[in-house]
Amino acid sequence: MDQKSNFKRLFGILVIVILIMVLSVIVLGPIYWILLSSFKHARELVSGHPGLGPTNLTLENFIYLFQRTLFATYLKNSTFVTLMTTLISVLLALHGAYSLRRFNFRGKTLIERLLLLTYMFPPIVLIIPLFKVLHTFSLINNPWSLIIVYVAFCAPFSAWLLESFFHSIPLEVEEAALMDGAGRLRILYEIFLPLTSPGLLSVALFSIIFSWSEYMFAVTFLMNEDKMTLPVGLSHFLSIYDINWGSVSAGAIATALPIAILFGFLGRIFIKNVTQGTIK
Amino acid sequence: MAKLKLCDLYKDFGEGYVVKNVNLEVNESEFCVLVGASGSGKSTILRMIAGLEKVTNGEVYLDGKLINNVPPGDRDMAMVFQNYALYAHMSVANNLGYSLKIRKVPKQDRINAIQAVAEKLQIEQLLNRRPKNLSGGERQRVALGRAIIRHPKVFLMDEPLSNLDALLRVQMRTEILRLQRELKTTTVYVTHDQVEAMSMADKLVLLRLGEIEQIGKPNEIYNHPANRYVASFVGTPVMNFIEPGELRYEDGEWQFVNIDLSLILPEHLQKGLTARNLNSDTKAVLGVRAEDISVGTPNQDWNKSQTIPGQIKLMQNLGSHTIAFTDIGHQLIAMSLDPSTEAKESDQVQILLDLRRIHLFDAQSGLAINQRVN
Amino acid sequence: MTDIKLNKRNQKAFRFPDELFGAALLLPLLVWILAIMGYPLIATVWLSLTNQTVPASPAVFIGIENYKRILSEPDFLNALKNSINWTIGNTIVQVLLGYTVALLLNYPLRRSRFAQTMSIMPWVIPTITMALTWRWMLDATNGVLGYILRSLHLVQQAPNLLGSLGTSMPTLIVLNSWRWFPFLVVIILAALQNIPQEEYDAATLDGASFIRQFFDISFPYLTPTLLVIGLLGTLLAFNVFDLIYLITRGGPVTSTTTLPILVYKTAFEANRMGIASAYAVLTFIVMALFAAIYIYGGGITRWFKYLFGREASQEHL
Repeated sequence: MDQKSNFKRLFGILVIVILIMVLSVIVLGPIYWILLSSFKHARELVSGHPGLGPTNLTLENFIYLFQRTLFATYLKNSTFVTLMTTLISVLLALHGAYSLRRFNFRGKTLIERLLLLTYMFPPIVLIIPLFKVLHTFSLINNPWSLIIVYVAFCAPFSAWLLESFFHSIPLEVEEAALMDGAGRLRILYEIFLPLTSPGLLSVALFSIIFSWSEYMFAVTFLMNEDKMTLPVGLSHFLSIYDINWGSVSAGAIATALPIAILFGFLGRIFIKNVTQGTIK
Repeated sequence: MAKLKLCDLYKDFGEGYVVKNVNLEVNESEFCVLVGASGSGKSTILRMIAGLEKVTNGEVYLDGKLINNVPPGDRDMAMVFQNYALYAHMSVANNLGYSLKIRKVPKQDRINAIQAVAEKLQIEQLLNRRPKNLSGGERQRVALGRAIIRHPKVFLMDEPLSNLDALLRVQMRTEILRLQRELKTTTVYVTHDQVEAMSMADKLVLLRLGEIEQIGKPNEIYNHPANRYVASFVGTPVMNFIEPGELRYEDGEWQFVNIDLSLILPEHLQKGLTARNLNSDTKAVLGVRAEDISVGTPNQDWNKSQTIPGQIKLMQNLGSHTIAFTDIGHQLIAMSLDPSTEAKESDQVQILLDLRRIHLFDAQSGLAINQRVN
Repeated sequence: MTDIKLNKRNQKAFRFPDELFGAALLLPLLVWILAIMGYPLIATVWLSLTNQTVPASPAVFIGIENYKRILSEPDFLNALKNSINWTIGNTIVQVLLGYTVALLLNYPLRRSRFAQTMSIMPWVIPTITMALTWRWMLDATNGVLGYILRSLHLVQQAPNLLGSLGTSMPTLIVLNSWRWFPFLVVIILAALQNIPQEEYDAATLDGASFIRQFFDISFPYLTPTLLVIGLLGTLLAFNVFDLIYLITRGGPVTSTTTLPILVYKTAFEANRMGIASAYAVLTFIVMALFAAIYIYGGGITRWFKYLFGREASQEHL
């Protein structure tokens, strides 16, 4: 009996180990490969025998990226759009969430559901008229057109998320502040804000990830090369006939890097807080 | 110090009145305790005084001025919450000084005030700590300090000691009283603990289901409860109620008659009962506290000693006294005995009620029938 | 005690009623949503009833002509079929992957910060990066996948997964799941960690094996959460545009053309905005139907729970 259960245990452990190994390869493999490719000579990559290990490394792809392409411009544009989107979204979400949390009025639950729903809204249904309107007002190629749309997607969901964070602040603390003589807005900025800073961080991260990575609206609204954001600019690398996989890889890595770093530091807070809100 | 007056106060949250017809005056420097079970409306009344709840009907006056529409921050009152409600992201010092900061008190004055309050409450060593690094008792002091610091006209306290352990609770009770006597601030204090209420109040307000049952000094309420509910609420153990019974007028005397006993009521009650024009056979309940019952031979201090036979079923030794649950035939009554008593379980005993201290209540309305002793 | 002179707070003659103030805080957000989402929704419906080609040219109202034409052509039905396959495929793969990784992270790998961070990575990396990565790895000529398979002598020639009619869709489904499964992992993990340890302890004392515990304790607790998240995930999968467009552009031929791809290409490559709008409206309807099925299928969870005999699941939503 003992032998049998020991065998079962060993078998179980073996299965798990194999599973972990397989999953590691699946999850980490592509990331490793693209990272490696960005540091390899483009010639080697298309030679039919690309080395799988970190040998023969070079920085030429990155140099090419920054000197011979408009990558730096794309980077600048993406940064601008992302920053503005995040800023505006956070502001709108903060005040909106506070309003939902603190004040009770008719139709409140309806609005809460609506906020959640906006995140699931199919963007494809919106893009045609939006394009038409922007075209009419000559706003094509303007990064603000993107910012406006991105905020419409990020802010509501952020407000919904923030509202659930605000729930964790007991009513009594607010009332104590009221008794101390604080006005509503002061309570928001001096009490809620500091106490829910992880929530704010999560919301900001969410907006950042969304705007940095968004493609569909960006490729439709931005025509000029010098106005393009990273996803759009990079996608053009693929439409060239003779693709330089080295620089493509470098571009891919360079685009992912800022987000990966940000997330590496702040990720755990983000995850913990987002799930708390969604479990509700 | 200030005078508070509540006039015909009503509160409805949308599903019926939770506070009804409350009329109360709290005088300068008075320590007024609102006591009652959960749902009695005591916290709601407190919050209406604070301005945290809107008044449905009625008026709140502070020093003669109507304050119904004055925002909470402008009423010059301070509140201590059950869960302390400290600002978790601020240090103790900043917690204390927050209200002053809002009112733009100059920095040096603020620092001095914080220091003074901290000394008073013996929390100077905690000034730089965050609330999460404080014990329950320490947090409570900070909450108190926050209330004290701006010398408000009224202190409002919503069950501030409920979250502390028993020992700490008793200590803090004394502290709070001491502070209040020193500062002479009018205080309204809410609790569900009747022992706490009795030990702290200048004026006790007993609430049930949103209405005031009785207002008075703790002594008065204890010795002269206005109705059965009040009588059963205060005092440990709970008052014994002998029922069902009747008040009968026979041979020129009023008697209380019940299946287990028949008592001729003492002199001081007779006149009062006659004066009330009661019917003979009025349904009534006799209330008597455990400490007013004893066992053994009658003593000439007591008038008209009439004993009731019974059997002790259960005894609980509480250290300072022993409670004997005694079966008098159709019900159990609790007697408080000296711990050195020789009585034991299943003893047959004769029980004596101190007739100077019995209470009579109308069986239907619960209202007290008897009048004052002495 | 120092005597504090409290400054008289300026008593406003008029104080904003609370409700108005609250509404004011919320208004910008609501207006924004209405403008960017509400208006286009209506406008799309309007456009679908016109013959709009490019924005510059005027639109003429033609009623339901577009719809009639759509329903007589194969494009829409093909895209619909693809969308359904896409959505269902994604859901299944993501749930399986998500569950597996979540379980791993909850038990053997619980303390590994590396594992946690790495599991979330695919979600965080920009889609464009992944699109480029996959295009590169799965390239028929020089892709590393083909290289590895050939080196291991498993195939003669590198498989053209993305360029072959049969494999393009399944491949994309896997790729998209790769990107999105962390979303599910995070949710499942959090839900798992919410289950009180005592239940497991009691079961262990009762002699239940790990697998038993999973089915009798974990699963019932997870089901309600999963259903809600599943809805979210399904709708998100349905809407996916960028990954598909960047990797296969909807090809080869139309094998990976889902509804969003169809709408986009019709509007911005073929310049037939009227028809594209009609596609969009129909897409929206399909999606709403999907959501409705999901939400009402929730009634199924009730007898699902009944089958597993768990009342406790109620308190977890």
